[in-house]
Amino acid sequence: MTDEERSESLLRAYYARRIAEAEGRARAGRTASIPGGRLPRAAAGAGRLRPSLPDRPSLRDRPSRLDRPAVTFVLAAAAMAAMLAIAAAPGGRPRWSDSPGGLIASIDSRIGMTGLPSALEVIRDSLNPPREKGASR
Amino acid sequence: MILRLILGALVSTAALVAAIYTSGGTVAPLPTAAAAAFVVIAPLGAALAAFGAAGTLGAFRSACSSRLRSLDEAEAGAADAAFVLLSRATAAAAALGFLLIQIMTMYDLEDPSAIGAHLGYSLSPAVIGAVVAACLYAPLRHSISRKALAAAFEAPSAAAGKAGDGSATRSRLRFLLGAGLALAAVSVIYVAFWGGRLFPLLNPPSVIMMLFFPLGNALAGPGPSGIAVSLGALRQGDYGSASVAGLRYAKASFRYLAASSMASGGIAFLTGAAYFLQGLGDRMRYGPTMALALVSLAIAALFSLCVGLPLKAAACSRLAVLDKRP
Repeated sequence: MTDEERSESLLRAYYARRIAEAEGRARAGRTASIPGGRLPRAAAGAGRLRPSLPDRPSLRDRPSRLDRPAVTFVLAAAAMAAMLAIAAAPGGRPRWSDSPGGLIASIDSRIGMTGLPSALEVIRDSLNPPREKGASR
Repeated sequence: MILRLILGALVSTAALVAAIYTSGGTVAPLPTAAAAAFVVIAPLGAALAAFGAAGTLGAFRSACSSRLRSLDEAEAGAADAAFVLLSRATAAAAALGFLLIQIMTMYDLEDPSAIGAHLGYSLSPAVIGAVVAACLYAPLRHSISRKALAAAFEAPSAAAGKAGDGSATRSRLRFLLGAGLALAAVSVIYVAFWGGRLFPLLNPPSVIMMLFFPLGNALAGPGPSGIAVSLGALRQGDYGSASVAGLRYAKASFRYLAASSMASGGIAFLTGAAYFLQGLGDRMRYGPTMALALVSLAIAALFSLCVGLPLKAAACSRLAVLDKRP
């Protein structure tokens, strides 16, 4: 046996073992992956590999019950319905500006539209006090 | 994944549109579509330049595949890099769109009434870009991490309920008490300073935005199963039986939810600011638009303080303990 033949024989045995392990894992419902390439196909030719094996979903590949399309649809529909209910509820429109007790009225009563300029004037005057007439430089 | 992504994005977008309409604004379809096309197409060009068509499509295929299988490290890394680039390029495109509209505004300076409208419209690429990043690229990126940590979903869920029930109950109680304390502190201080007005926090557009936009994101990202697995990993972490993959996934998942909540607050703030600027001069529009911007951001910060940060930190601390265990 040449070196090349020996090497191929070893590889063939290795892949055959990997494929057998993969089959065992798939039977147990666990993740099964098999190596691709020429040699495994040769091993498959020896009857060790069923062609359907890679496509069989393993336990890990199965989506959780909570991820089922029906659950997703129900959640999305419930969210949209709740959103519409809040938007359409009486008083759903904000009353910030048009009610006397709204936020704007409250802000107006506290700082007022002139509040900020007045505050700036106070700061400016405190930094540069207006000089009295006749004060010496 | 594709169904969850589409329905989640639909719920989030509907939340934004409902918040705009309930705050008295309207959405102009054509300018919105133009801004959306710009912030979607320009980043795709950047991705094509970086990864080519095969690489970009491969990233989408890896993220959207319905099977919860382990991605190998190289595949996960390449897909993650593609979505990081798309998110950052979207931010750059939004900034570019803002600047281009601002520059266009300079040709209309003789009409003072148009300035506010232009200023408001210039924020639309930023709003749409943030929506695209939050509703599309963030869930796809999360899907990659979910597949890379698929082992987290193999943990026996029954174990979480059996052993260490007392510890899990204490953990839940501790979380509820802590979150309640933070909420109470915020409420008391708010009421004290605002003369008993707690109602503004229940501003309907802000409630719609802050409740349903993150909900859509959660549906598109971790989904119900991901959230259940993450909470399960936290419970198992309390008595040391959680897996590293489970806690890593919990950390990624809570980080995603916290970021999604803050992104919702940011989008609401930008939207409120845009409509505030559009309505400059109309005093009746100030309140609703300011409320949409500020109250939503306040709710986002409150959620982050009471729920998002504690859950993420809990996952990080349990993971640190597990990593140090021999």
